[in-house]
Amino acid sequence: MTHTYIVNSEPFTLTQAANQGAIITVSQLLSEYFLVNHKPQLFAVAVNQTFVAKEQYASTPLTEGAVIELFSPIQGG
Amino acid sequence: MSLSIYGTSLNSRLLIGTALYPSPAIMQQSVIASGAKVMTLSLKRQAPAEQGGQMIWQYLQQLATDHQIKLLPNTAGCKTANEAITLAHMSRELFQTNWLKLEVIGDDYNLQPDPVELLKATKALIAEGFQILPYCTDDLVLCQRLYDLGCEVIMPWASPIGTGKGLMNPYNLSTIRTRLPDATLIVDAGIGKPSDAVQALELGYDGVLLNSAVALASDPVAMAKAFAYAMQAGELAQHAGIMPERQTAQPSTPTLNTPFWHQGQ
Repeated sequence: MTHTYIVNSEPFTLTQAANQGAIITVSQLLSEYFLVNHKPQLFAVAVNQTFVAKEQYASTPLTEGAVIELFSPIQGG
Repeated sequence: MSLSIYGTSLNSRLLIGTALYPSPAIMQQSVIASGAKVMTLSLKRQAPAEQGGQMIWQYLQQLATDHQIKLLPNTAGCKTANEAITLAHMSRELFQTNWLKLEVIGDDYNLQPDPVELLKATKALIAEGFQILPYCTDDLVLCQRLYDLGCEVIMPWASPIGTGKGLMNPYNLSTIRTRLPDATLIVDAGIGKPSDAVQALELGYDGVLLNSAVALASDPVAMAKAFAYAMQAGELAQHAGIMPERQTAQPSTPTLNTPFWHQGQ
C-alpha cells in the first residue's frame, strides 16, 4: 500500500500517518494534507462522492485510492 | 411587506444571488441596497492553493450578521439526485440551515431543471429534515408533485438562468398560482429588469429570486435599489386589485356635455 489518495483531483501520498498503521482515516489524511496545503476556514468533505460529517472523520477509514473532495463556500445564484 | 419561508417571516419579497458582481464590495453593497433578507450561495471544490473563497465567505458572513440576511445554499452544478443530496448535507453542516435551494440540472444548453431527479432528491431530503425550495420549470403538474411531497415553497423559472428574458410564459405561472393557492411561490431565474419582478408579483407570486439582473447591470447597486422599489410596487399592485382587461376602448374622461358631444353618435 502506498497510501495514495486523490484529494481535490490531485494525488496525495501520506508519509507520516502511513507509518502508524495500515488503516488511514479521514482525520489522519486531513491533518497531513493541511500540513502542506492551505486549510480553508470552512470546508466540508465527501469521500467517493458521499458526504462525511465532521464527527465521522476519525472513524471513517479510507480505501487505497479513495477520492476525497473538500468543498468551501462560494458566491452563488 | 412580508414573505414567509417555512414559517420565517421576512420583510422583503426579494431573494438575491451573490455571484457575478464586479467585486465582492459591490456585491455586498448591492445586497444591502436590494433590501433582500435572503441571499443564495454555493459550494465549490477548493483548489489546493486557492484562498479567494475564504474572502467571499467573510463578505457573506458579514452580510448575514450585520444585516440579518439569511443564507440559502444552492446545489448549483448538480446533475443527479445523488450529487444534490451529497451537496445538501455539506451545506447543512457548513451553514447550519435546513433551507436548501434544490437545483438539479437536466440540460446544459438551457440549464433546464431535471424534473425526475429533482423529485427524487426532494423526497429523500425532506425525509431527512431539509426544507426544500426547489428550482423547477413552470410545469403545473411538477409543481403540484413537489407540493405534495411537502415543499411549502416552490420556485418555477421565469426563463432560463441568466437570460434576462423575463416571464416567458405568464399563463403557466398564473395557472400554478391559481392551482396552488396555499404554496409560497417564488419566481426564480430569468428575471432581467424590475418590471419583470413587478409582473411576477402582479400575477400573485409571493417573491422573486434573481442574481444576474442586478450583478450584470452597469450599476449593480442602483439596479438593486430599483428592484427594491419594484418589489414594493408589485406588492401594492397585488393588494390594490388590478382592473379587468377589456377588449374595447372605454373613454376615461366623462363625455356627457363635453364640447361637441352629440347623443347617439
